[in-house]
Amino acid sequence: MKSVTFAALAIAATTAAPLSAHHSFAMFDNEKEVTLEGTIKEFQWTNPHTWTQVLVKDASGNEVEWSIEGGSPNSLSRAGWKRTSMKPGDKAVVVIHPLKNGQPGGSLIRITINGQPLGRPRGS
Amino acid sequence: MWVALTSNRSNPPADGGSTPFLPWAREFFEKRAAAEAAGQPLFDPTANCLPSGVPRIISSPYPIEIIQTPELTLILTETLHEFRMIHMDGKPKPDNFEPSYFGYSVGHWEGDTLVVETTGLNGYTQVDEEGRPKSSDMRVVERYQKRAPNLLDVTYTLYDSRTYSRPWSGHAQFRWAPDLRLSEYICEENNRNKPDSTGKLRLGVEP
Amino acid sequence: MIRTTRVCLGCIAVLWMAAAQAQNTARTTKEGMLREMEAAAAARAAPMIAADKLRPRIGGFWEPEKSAGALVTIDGKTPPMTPAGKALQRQRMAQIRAGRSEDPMNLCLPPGTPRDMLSPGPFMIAQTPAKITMLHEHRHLIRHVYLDGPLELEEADPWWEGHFSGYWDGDVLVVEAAGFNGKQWLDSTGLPQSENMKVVERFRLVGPDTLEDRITIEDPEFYSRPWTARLTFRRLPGEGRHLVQEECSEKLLEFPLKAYAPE
Repeated sequence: MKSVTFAALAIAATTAAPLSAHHSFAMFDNEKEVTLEGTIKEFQWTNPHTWTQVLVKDASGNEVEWSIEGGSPNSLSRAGWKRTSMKPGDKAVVVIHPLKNGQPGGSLIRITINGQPLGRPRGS
Repeated sequence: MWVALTSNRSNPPADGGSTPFLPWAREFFEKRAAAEAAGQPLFDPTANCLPSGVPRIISSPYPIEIIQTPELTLILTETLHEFRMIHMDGKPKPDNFEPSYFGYSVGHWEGDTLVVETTGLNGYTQVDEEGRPKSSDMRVVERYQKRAPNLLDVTYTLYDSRTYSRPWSGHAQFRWAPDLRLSEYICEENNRNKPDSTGKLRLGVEP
Repeated sequence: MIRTTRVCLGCIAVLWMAAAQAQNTARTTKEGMLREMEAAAAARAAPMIAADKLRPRIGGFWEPEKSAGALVTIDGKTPPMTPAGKALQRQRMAQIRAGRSEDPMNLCLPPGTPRDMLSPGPFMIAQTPAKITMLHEHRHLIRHVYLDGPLELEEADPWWEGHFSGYWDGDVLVVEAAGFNGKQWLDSTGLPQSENMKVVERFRLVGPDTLEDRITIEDPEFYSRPWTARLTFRRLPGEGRHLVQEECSEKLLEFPLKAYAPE
């Protein structure tokens, strides 16, 4: 039985996507990590997923709005997050798995707000 | 109160063997895998805030609460605030039962193991997120056993001769969390991944 | 600024397995501690179990005695509203009449409190010593009422249903709720609520098979004084009863559910 459990955990880890009960995270490139530095535009503390809207300057200096999909408030609050964990104007460094189709979106891996890292939920 | 230690992303047979798909089921599964590889997941009821159904709900990664009354065992799930009613009165499923996401569950104790048999399932949901399918003929037998004071093991066996060439089993596990409370989880609140009219999941880029 | 790196998937898997193994070893050495936890939980539960034996039995299946439309005061009157309350309800009613209702229930959002008690169809009360759980067929709503009242809310996320706490006052189950998001309507006529609403419900058996719920709403933003409504429920035979959850979100699909079902 033990080996079964370990196998299941290993699978969860290799996909490295949030343990979602809601939808597949296969739209994201789960083998690629992108680090964004920008400013929080909006933080949607909502189910089934939280969304962090971040304004990031692209190579030509234009501001682009990225949509970052995170875990649910339920799992994030158990990792120490609050709906007040970030607010518009905060400086953010966000590490994401980007959308495979190249649009400005991704799934959240970890985030630092004004230099403070926020807790990471189990499995994401 | 129990915290899930397993996930519903990919639930192949727990013995490590391959999934005994019948041809239509393999085609269904592979079509989904190809779509995922291309970055565009296909329709899944849960992405539309619909239940994952039995057996997938067993491995939902969110906490559950089990309430025992003399007549019923209730399993409450945080995800989508669903509940399962397991009838402990020894009577079978009523003849006029309409198939549903959670079907009709009958339970009994074998020593310290709770055995739950579920039939009357609709065919709308899958066994896992990857897309192992099921038919409305599926019968699910779950065995709940405490392996340690804080560990609950669930082994479930799937009988569905319209989808699989032989019965096969999956496994889920929970850790006891006496002080945990189920939170509100309202999927309809801000579902940016709702499937579009062609059944493809939206990518949520529009804020 | 954007940087891209590759992940070592194998490394993560190995780390996870090591962590799981360590956790598993810790688990067996923690056996004694767990037994102590279990014993402590049992000791905490003992007085609650003893007290529960003296409580009225409200557990089982119930349905509304009559279908409720508008929520009215206990003497059948319109609730005492502030000008802001009246204006908001008038606006909502006008939208309904114009066929543009913005009732959150239409979007499959949960009925909230106390609107969940206006739900049609049966619900179940699971009565246990430390908790009352109400399970509705309609919108598969679950109310978790921990018997640790009175309610003390410190920092809580605003919820559609609010946060509950209950206690027994003699033969009356008192259920307090606060911490709402203020977005839901109190009933189908658009009676408003704010984030600061407090709801106190007093459940008691007024006959062997009749359950009364006296609902007191306190919300100074929209109501000029606290007011009380009354609902009653009749007991249903429990034997073999099964609640089939209503899945509202099927209606939100942009195609028939069967179109993409495996079968």
